[in-house]
Amino acid sequence: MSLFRAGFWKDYIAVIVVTVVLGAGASAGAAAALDVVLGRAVTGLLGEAGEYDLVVHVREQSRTAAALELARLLAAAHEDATVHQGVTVAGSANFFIKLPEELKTQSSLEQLAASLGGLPGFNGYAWMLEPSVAVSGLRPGLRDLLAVEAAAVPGVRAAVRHGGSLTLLLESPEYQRAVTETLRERLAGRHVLEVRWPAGATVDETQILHAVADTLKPRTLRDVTVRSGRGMTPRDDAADTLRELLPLWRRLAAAGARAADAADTLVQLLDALEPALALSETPEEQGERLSEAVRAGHGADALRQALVRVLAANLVRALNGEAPDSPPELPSRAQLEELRATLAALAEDAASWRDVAQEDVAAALEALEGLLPAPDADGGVLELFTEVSVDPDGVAQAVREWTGYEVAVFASSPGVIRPSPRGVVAELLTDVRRTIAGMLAVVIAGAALALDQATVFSAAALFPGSRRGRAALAAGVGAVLVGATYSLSGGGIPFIGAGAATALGTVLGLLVMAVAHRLSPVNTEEILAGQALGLSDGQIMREIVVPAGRPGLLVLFNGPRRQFR
Amino acid sequence: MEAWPLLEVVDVHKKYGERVALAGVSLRVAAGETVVVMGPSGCGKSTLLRCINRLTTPDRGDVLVDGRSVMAMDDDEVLLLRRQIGFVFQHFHLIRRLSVLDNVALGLVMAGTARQVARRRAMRALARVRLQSEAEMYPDQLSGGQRQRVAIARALAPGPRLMLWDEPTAALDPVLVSEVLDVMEELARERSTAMLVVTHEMRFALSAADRIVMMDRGRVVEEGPPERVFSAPRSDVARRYAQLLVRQPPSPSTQARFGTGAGKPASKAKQFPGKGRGLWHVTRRGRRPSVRR
Repeated sequence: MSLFRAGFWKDYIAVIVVTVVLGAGASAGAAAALDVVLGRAVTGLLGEAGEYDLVVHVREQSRTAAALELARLLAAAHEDATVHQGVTVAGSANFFIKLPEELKTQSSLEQLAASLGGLPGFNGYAWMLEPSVAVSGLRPGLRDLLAVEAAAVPGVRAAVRHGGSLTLLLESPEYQRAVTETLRERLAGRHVLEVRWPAGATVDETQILHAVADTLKPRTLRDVTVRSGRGMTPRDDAADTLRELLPLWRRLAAAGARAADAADTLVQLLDALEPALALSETPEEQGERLSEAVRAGHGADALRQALVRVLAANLVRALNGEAPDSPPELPSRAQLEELRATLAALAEDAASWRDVAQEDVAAALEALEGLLPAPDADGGVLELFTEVSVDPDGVAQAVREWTGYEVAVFASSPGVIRPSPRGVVAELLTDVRRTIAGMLAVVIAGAALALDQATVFSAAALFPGSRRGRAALAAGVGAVLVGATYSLSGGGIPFIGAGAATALGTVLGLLVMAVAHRLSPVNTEEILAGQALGLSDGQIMREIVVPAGRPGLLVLFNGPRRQFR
Repeated sequence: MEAWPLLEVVDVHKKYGERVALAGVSLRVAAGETVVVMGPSGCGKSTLLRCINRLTTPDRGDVLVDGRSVMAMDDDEVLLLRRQIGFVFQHFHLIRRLSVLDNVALGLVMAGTARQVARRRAMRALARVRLQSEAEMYPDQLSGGQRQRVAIARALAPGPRLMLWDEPTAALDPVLVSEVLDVMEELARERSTAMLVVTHEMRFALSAADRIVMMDRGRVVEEGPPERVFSAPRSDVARRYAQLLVRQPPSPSTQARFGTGAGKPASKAKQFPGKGRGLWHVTRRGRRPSVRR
C-alpha cells in the first residue's frame, strides 16, 4: 500500500514490534507483581511452608467450642501437638495444627482425621503435610490399593487416605519428583471400569475377572471393589445379616416340628421294648423287681406279669445255653432310662414347635423380611483397575459371552496427581497470573489497535489501495499484535491458547478497521492538502495524520522523525 | 492563443459510479494566462481541476502539462508535478496544528528545501498576501479570508507555473471575499503564473480573466473572452451568468478597472443580455478586459 512507502513502513513495523514487546512485558510484569502480592497473602493465610500440617474448618458460630474440643483432642493424641487459630473466611473459622513427628504415621494421621468429625460445627479439613504428593478423585478401592503400593515406594513416609484422596507424606522434598513420577506411571494409561449387573442376577465376580483377563488380556487387571464398606452403615450390615439368617430360621422352624414328632416316636418305641429290658437283668435284679411288684400291691396281674418276664428271660437264656446268672450284653437299664428321660425332655421342648403352625412361622419371617431394606436394588458391582485400552464395550461383550449376563460398564479416571496444598495454591496463583497476563495482553494489544492502528486504518481508507488490502492489513496487524503479545506475556486464559488469541486478534483488527474512522478520525481535508502539495503518502502520515492521531506509541515514535514539531 | 500551451486537457472523461462528472472536456491554458471556469454546481468543474494534478485519475483522455502526459507519469513524477502546480481549495485545507508559517513552508520542506530557505520563501509568499505579521499564528486564530490567503501563500510558495483555484471564495463571508479577490487579481495582473480558476465570482471573471470557459453537465459549452461571453452569450449557462451580471452591477473597483458605465440604473442594465449591442460594451484594453459604455 502506498502509505508504507517513503520509509513509513519501517516506523510502522518498529511500532508493532515495540508494541508487542512492551505489551508483553507490561502484561507479564503486572501479572508477576500481582503474583507476588497474592503469594504474600497466601503465606499470611497458610503460614510458611511446613509450618502447619493440618487445617480444620469449623463454622464460625462454633469457633469457641470447637477450639476447646480440638485442644482436648490434640492433647489426647500427643502433648506436643499445637493449634493456631487462623482467619475466618466466608463464615468458616480455620484452625492450623502442627503435629509432632511421632504422630506422622498413616494410622495416627487417619485416626486423628477420623476423630475430627466430632468437633462442634465441623466443616471439613485439609492436610497441609509437606513435603507431600496427593492423588485425588480416586475410587475407594483404588485409593486403598494405591495406599498400600505407595507406602512401599522409597521416600514415602506415610500414605494418608481421606475421602477420595490419598496424600503421601514424603521423607524429604527430594523425593517429590520421583514419587510423583512413580504415581504417574502407576496411573497413566489406566482407568477404573465399573461393571454393574442387574438386581437378581447371580453373577460370579471371579467369572467376570476371568472373562476380562482371558478375552482382553490386559497387562494390569486389579479388582478394586470395596465389598464391606461400599458406603454401608452399621444398620445396612445388620440388615444384611438378618437377610442371611432368614432361610436358616425357616429351616429351623420346620426341623423343630419334625424333632417333636421324632421324640414321641422314640419314647413309644422304648415302651414297646420294655419287656426286652428284662433280658438284661441279673437274678438279683429280677428278685427285686418281683419284690417291688409284691410291695407295690399292684395285684395278682402285675405279679404274674413280673413273674412271666423273669421266667421268659431265664427260658431264653436256657435256650441260648447261657447260665441263668450271666445276662446278655444289652444296654443297661440305667442307660435306657437316661435315654428315655432325654427323649421325654426333647419331646416336651419340641412340643411347642408342633403347636406353632408352619404357615404362621413363614408369615412371620416374611413380614420380617419385608421390614428389611431392599438388598442392593441396583444389583452387583465390580470395579476393575486396568488399562485404558480395555474399553467398556469390550468388557461388556466379554462378560456377556462368558456369563450370558448383560452388564453395564462405565469407565472413570483413576485419579489426578496433585502437588501439596501449598502447591495447589501455587498452581492456582500461576493460573491467576497467566490469566491476568493474558487478559492484560489482549487489553494492551486492543488499546494499541484502537489508539495507534485505528489512525493508520482510518488513513489507509483515504489512500490508494483496495478495501480487501486494507482488511488484510487490519487482520494481519491485529493477529500479530494480540497473538504475539499474548504468547510472549506467558498469558493463559482458560480455553484460549495462542491460536485462539491470534484468531481473536484477527477479529479485533477487522473490528477496529470497521470503526477506525470513529476511533481515530482523520482530517481528510488536511490529507488532501498534503497530496496537493506533492507530499508522499508516507510524508502525509508522518507530518499530518500521525501527529493529529490519538496518543500512542506511533505518535511517540513518529515524533523525532517529524520535520514539523 | 499561444502556440505551446502550458496546460492542455484533452477529451477527459470521468464517472463516479453511474454519475458522469466529465464527458469529454478539452481546454488549453497558456503560460501566464488566467482562465476562469464557470458553470452550475455539479457540472464537473472541481473534478476537472483534480484531474489536472491527478488528485483524481480520469477514466479517459489525457492531461498534458508542459507537453508531458500526466496520465503516463509514475507516482514519483506525479508528486513532482503536484509540487509545480499550486492548488487552492474552497475550504482552505490548512493543517490546524501547524503555524501559518509552517503551513506555507510544509510543501517546500517536504520537497527537500532546507528549512531556513523554506521559511524565507514562505515569509515572502506570506508577504505577497499581506500576512507576514500573522506568520506565527495558527489557522484557528485567523478569519476565513486570512486563512484563504494563507492557503494562497502556501500554493504560491514553491513558485508554481500553474495555479488551480477551486472556488476560493465560496466558503467566505461576503465581507471577506474582497480581500481574497484582491490578492487573486493582483496575482493575475502579475502574469507570472497561469491560473485556472473555478469560481462564480463575476467580479473576478470580468476583471482578471483572459478567457471564460463555461461548463455544463461535464462538458465545455462555451469558451471565449469575458467581454464576448457576457455580452453575447451563446449558451444557456453563459446567458444566466450574464443576467446575473446585469442584476448585480460591478463594484466601484471594477468600474474603475473597466471604465465608466458601472452603476447604471438596473432598468438599463437589464438590457445587457439582450440582443445586439447592450448597455455594457465589453472590450479589451491592453491585456486586460475593460468595460465602457
